[in-house]
Amino acid sequence: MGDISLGISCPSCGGALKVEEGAKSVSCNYCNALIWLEGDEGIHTIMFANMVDRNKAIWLVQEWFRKGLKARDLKTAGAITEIFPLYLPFWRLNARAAGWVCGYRERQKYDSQGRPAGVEREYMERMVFRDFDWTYLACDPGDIGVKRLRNLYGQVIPANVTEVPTFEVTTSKTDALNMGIQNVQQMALQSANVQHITFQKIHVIPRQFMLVYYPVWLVRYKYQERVYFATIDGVLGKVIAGRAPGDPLYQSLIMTGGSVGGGLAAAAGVYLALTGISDELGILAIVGGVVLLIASYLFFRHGSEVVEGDIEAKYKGFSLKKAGEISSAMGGLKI
Amino acid sequence: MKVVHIKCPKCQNPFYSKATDTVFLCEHCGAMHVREPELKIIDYEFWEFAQSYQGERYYMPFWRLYTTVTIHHMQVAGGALVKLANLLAGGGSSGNIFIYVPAIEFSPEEFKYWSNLLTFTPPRANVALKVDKNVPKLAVKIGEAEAMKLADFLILTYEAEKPGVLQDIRYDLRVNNTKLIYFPVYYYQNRYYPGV
Repeated sequence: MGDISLGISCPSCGGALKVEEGAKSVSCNYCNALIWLEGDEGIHTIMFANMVDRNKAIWLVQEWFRKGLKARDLKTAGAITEIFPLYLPFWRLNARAAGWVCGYRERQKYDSQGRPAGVEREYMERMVFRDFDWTYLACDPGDIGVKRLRNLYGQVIPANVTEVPTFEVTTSKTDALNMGIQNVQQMALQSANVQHITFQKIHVIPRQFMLVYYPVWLVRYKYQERVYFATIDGVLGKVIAGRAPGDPLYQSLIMTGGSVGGGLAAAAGVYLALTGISDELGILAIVGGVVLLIASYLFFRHGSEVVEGDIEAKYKGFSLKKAGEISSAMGGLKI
Repeated sequence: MKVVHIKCPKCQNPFYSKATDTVFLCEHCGAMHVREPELKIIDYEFWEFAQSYQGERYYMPFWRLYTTVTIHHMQVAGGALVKLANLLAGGGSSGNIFIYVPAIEFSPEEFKYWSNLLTFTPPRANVALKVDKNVPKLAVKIGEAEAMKLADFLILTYEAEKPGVLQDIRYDLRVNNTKLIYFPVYYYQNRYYPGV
């Protein structure tokens, strides 16, 4: 992030100090005095400059109206009723994870005829030694679809929370730090990718813990007498979250197509299995057909609203991962 | 934000320097202190350059931890453990060892290399009675508390190396004392080389 001017003076000569982001000690450019910086209650605070103006925010939302499976007339019928910038505080923990995860992975063995021949155990020990970043919202702004930072870079300006509209920090530093350490521990454990863990010891070493004030634009708009919103990243200049009306035509088409496709696939699967052409292919086709049916039903049932960002929703798009989860639950087949 | 001019906690001598660091050596009384997590005077020593190589001279900081390691239980798949057991006195399950933890930022490979080099084959070096002020010190990036955790990580690293595949281990690691060692190195063609 480069050097930042915090508007503070050298206590030795009074010269303006330039500080590298996150630095604890700094040398005065004028008198070479070595300076030590301590954040309020030990917390360093930085603030990013808002790079998006009102006109650009409106343009970004209107562009967003056109993308995805949103109502086709949203760009013309959606009317922005409120738009304003604000700063959201986020806890940011940069921590190093150092440790080992030991265990094994089990693999199905097959004989020369391709028949199952027991389970093979592959022992493994995995070193984890890398830095992780964790961020989380430090306030409660309501449902605006932002809970964590997606960007850690931008122009840093002096943190002056009294002069810009911000939300008050409502979570304690200790709680946030503990939560961050637990999350980094979890991320480190997952990065080791050991299927059956017999031993694990991972040290999480916090290297930087700070408050980051990040600019976002909150946009509220109306469509057919219902109120929706979008949240815009004030540094990157893109929509990061929002709710939007879905399109009944897309819903109907996907439901119809999904039903037809799913039914045909399932019927083909039954045929393949009953005629003995291929049991495995038959089961795969049946499971695929059912997954397609469920996916199209979910979109039909909940697709009247499109949501993006960190929003709890019944339907947030259908992914291959979700399809895999359903198929696994049905019979262990991965898609 | 609190902004203070750094002074020696022992003799109150103010510090002036273009180079920044997280440890502060007083040129007046020789005390070295850290300010995080709390103001504390720390033990340190500089080692003498004993070889002459190509490249620029630097002092590279290491935390030297005098530790007592006790292994209670080990389980290894497909081999036997030898490395740490050999390091402990007489190949037993308990003993005292010096663990060297690099105090500068290194890649995992370099971190292991330098730690292993000094921990397993500590070079014979004399403590410098007079520090060469023309040789720059590399800034300390790894604090003492972090070094203690990394020492624990290194103990596991020694164990988790071939010939076996580590599956389980229970042990105690007690740090008896710590010292910051300034190790002489040469920097040549983007690499550091021991200067002893």
